Amino acid sequence: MSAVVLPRADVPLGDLPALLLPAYGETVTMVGIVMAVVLVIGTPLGVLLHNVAPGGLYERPALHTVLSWIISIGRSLPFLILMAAIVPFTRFVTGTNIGIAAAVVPMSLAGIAFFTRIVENALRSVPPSIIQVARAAGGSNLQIMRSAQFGEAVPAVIGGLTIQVIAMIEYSAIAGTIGAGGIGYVAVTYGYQRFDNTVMLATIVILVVTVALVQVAGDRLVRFATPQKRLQRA
Amino acid sequence: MISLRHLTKTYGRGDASVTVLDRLDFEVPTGRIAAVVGPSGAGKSTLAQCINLLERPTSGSVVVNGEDLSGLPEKRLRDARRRIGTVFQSSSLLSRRTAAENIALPLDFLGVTPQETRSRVGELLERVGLTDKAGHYPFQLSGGQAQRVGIARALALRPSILLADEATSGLDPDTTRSVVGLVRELRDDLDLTVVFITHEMDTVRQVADTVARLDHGRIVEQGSLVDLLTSHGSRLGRSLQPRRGHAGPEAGTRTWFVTYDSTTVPGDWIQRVTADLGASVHLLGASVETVHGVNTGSATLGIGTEDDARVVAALARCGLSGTPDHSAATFGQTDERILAGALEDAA
Ligand SMILES: Nc1ncnc2c1ncn2[C@@H]1O[C@H](COP(=O)(O)OP(=O)(O)O)[C@@H](O)[C@H]1O
Ligand SMILES: [Mg+2]
Repeated sequence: MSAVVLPRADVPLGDLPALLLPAYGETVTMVGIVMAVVLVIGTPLGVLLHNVAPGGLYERPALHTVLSWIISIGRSLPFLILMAAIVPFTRFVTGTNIGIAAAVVPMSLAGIAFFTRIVENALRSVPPSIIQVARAAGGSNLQIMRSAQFGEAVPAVIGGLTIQVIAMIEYSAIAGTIGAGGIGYVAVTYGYQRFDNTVMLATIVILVVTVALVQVAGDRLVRFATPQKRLQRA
Repeated sequence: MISLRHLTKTYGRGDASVTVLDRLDFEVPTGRIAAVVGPSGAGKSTLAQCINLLERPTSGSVVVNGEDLSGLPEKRLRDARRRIGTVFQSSSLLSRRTAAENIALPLDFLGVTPQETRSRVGELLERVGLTDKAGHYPFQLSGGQAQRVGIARALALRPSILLADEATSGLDPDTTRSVVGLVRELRDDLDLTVVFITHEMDTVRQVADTVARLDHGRIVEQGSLVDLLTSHGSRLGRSLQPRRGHAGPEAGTRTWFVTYDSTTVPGDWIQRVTADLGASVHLLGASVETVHGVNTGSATLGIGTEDDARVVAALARCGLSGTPDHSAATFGQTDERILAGALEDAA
């Protein structure tokens, strides 16, 4: 791809929407699919990880160690390397190693590892006395996890979710560099390889605004989910 | 009725194991409020967790209303727990649930219908005097209000047993008094059997019918509150007496430490003792209160005579027991060990 050096010719302003809007749609699709997978798998995994830990509802120290190590490995690989390392797996799952479908696999894996830790961390912040209260009130383990652990941790989970979405937007841009499409792909092919400053600037503005909006939305949700913040006019 | 037999709880195994409760025997008759006191780390919370079976005893039995709970399988254990209401320290409300929703927690877990839950929660809120706070979140409640919510929640499933572990710790004295008053009122109305665990002796004097002292994993001393407060031979009784500082003795007097030692101490005992001895009696410090209709307390006196035997006899005629405080004596030297021992025990 990078072998061909095109003459420098910025995309005219009028053509920007036609170029950026579909790319933005691809980014949103990628992040959306990944977030759905991450929520569905990462949430129960985080709850499980927390509860097989010593002091959890189903203490299984050995299982906790194994799970924790797997997740740590997933978390420690830089995303670019993870993406390259699992190409055979990606091809096996999606039948391709290019495009949105191929990007979703490594993004989901990295995202699940990320979110599992976020959920675990959020649950850990719930005081043990609250769990005792729920047990004494006659709750089953499932009820305790839902009402006491998750119920109390909701603001922390939403806060983590915000960080997660922003990280996934970043990952999608990285995935874009290997041809996954989306804003990242446009930034690399036009902005980087063709030195098209207009496109480069436009993609930066779009990413900054998107991340800022996600952060504002996340902060609002956290506020809404925390009675003290919702009801006290600062 | 709660009956603990040879209750043993050991944490860990092998060399690292700690036996927190050691073949403990304890009984609380139906409708009684039993206070359990003991130093920090004595195993009070462990005892509470063994009674409501949040922790399984290592051995021994926990019999509640005739049923041995210690051997039940996990599923039945949950039903058993529902018959025991537990009040925790005041901070244990779910922060994202309103007062009403917190009280409804055990009903939610049980799967009670929404209408039934609503009416039961309404009843309970009224019972603890918080009807107007139903929609308040924990951060909007004072410590005392939060603890009332905790009590209402503990009573949601109409338990016959109420277990309170340091339920008033961290509350100011007035709030403690009102929460304790509520517990006694509820006991009277609902015929609850209450185990009230605390390290605050002032609270014990307000709440308890009987008091037990837990130390080294066993109940080492117990008795009815009035008996303990009026029999100075008991170490637990002495530690229940409030100790306040007192003024120093005047020249020519000896300091005496006096405790109410019967249930019939006359109100004018100072005059009587003064007349009896024909010597001056200075009141240097005192703490007297009525517990279950009986006057109890202690006083520090400065008495202007050297005749210890006469003083002891004069005090005894009023139902008091006295020991001279030699460390502070302005004349003579007598047995210093008695009072030193008493003070040490009380600490
Ligand atoms: N889960 C546990 N594992 C190991 N040791 C424990 C555990 N819970 C309590 N202990 C120990 O048991 C002793 C009594 O604790 P606790 O019942 O909380 O005392 P108290 O409530 O009287 O202060 C302490 O020495 C504590 O370290
Ligand atoms: Mg304790």
